[in-house]
Amino acid sequence: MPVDVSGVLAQAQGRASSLPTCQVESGPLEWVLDPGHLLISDPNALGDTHSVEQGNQLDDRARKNAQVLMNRVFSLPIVRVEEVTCVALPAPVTPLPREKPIPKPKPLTKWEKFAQEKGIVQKKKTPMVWDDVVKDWIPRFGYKKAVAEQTKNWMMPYKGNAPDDEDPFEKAIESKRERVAKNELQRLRNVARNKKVKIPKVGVTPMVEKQTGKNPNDLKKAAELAKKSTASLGKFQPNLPGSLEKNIKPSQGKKRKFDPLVSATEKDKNMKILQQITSKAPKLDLKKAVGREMFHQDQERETSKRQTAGKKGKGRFNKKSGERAKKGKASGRGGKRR
Amino acid sequence: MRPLTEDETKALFEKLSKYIGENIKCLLDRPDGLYCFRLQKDRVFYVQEKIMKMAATFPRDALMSLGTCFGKFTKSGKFRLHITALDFLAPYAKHKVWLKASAEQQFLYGRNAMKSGLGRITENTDKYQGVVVYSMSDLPLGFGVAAKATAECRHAEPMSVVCFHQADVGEYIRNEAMLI
Repeated sequence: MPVDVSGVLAQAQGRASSLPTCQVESGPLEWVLDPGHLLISDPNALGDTHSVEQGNQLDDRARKNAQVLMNRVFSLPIVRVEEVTCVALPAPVTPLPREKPIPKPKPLTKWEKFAQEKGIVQKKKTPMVWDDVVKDWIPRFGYKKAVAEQTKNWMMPYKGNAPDDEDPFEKAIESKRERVAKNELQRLRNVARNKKVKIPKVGVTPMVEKQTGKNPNDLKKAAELAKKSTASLGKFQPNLPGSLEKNIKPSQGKKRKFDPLVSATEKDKNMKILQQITSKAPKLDLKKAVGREMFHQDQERETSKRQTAGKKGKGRFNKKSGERAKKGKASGRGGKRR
Repeated sequence: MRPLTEDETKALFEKLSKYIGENIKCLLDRPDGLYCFRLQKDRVFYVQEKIMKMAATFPRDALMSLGTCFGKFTKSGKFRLHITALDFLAPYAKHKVWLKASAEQQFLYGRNAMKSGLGRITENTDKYQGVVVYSMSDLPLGFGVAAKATAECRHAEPMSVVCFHQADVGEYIRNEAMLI
């Protein structure tokens, strides 16, 4: 079957021309590209209409920009990593903000502060030290030092006038333990100072007493609290052992209590409450006062009107005509207004 | 059923005193026997002591009503007056509003009273004063609150509200279930 090649080509061309191109022209301003972050920014202004067209425009812009970024990415050198085609991205240019805040400087310990004030600078110590006895280099710290120490100190002399039952090995261990404990205490003191926690300077603290539960009052309190600390406030809790249970005070909570259904004093009580309510000191209520004043003025006006009407009204029942009386009434009113 | 606590009594008396002032004394101190207020399922009943004692023999759940219901306490502790209290409060009312025959029906359907429907009003009634609403034939219709002082009423427009609706006898039909 013969095929019209030119027709097919024309059709393909037509299809291709209807699709969006990958050659995109920039606006008045150039794009700013940062392929390291796969970032593109388009500094050209947007139209200022809020419409469907605007939306379409935005879609178009986004497509174009993505196309530009893709063009750039595809122009970068291609690398093959385990049969996968990759692109070697250049180093990013745009600075990004830090994820976390900059760490605060560590507060100085007491010794560090003192050294700073005095200008003491710690000398750098070498990690290994030559030992004459072992005839070898031994680390200054660490487990190898401890091992070397053991081999070196297989025998320890009694010091001066130490008692006979004293074990120098044990004494060494004890002194080491004490030094560690002291260091730990000082570390905790530093922490407390930096956190501004008040701690006693010397001596046994009452805290220790509480922690060990040696204070009998504390124990009692704890037992009481523990008994009450249930959903039903200890109502269904079994009794504590003898002496503790005896010392527990009845609960301090106030129980709702209503008066008995029938009581002789009820009426008096109610009367008292009524007295309280009705004998409240009168307050100056501005609205009320204004209302009263308006009412009084109205009343006065009315009475005066009635009086004047009455005076003139006499004329109505005189021999003179009613017309005149009416006139007089009207004039009277007018006079009042003036 | 139980007597009211002090706070509850205060709330009740304060509400009643808005309508009848110190005439509450007449309710407490009656020549025809001892009367008292009792609370049952949040409702306050005004009841003769003799009847109250008889009612005390019933379990609380079974007791629906006793004496006359004056109103109920809301969950937030406020007292709300019911229309059933009207018979006891109307004779002692300090401030009254009379409605014209044309405005009666509107009020009985739960509407506020307009100036156009106002027949008479007690002199010296203050703004927001509790009032008992009467028909022109002196039949008590319900409770209200004066929206305007007496003096203001005179200058008010005909369509302005003069008395806010609180309760009316129409509720006997409209809110039968709520009133017990």
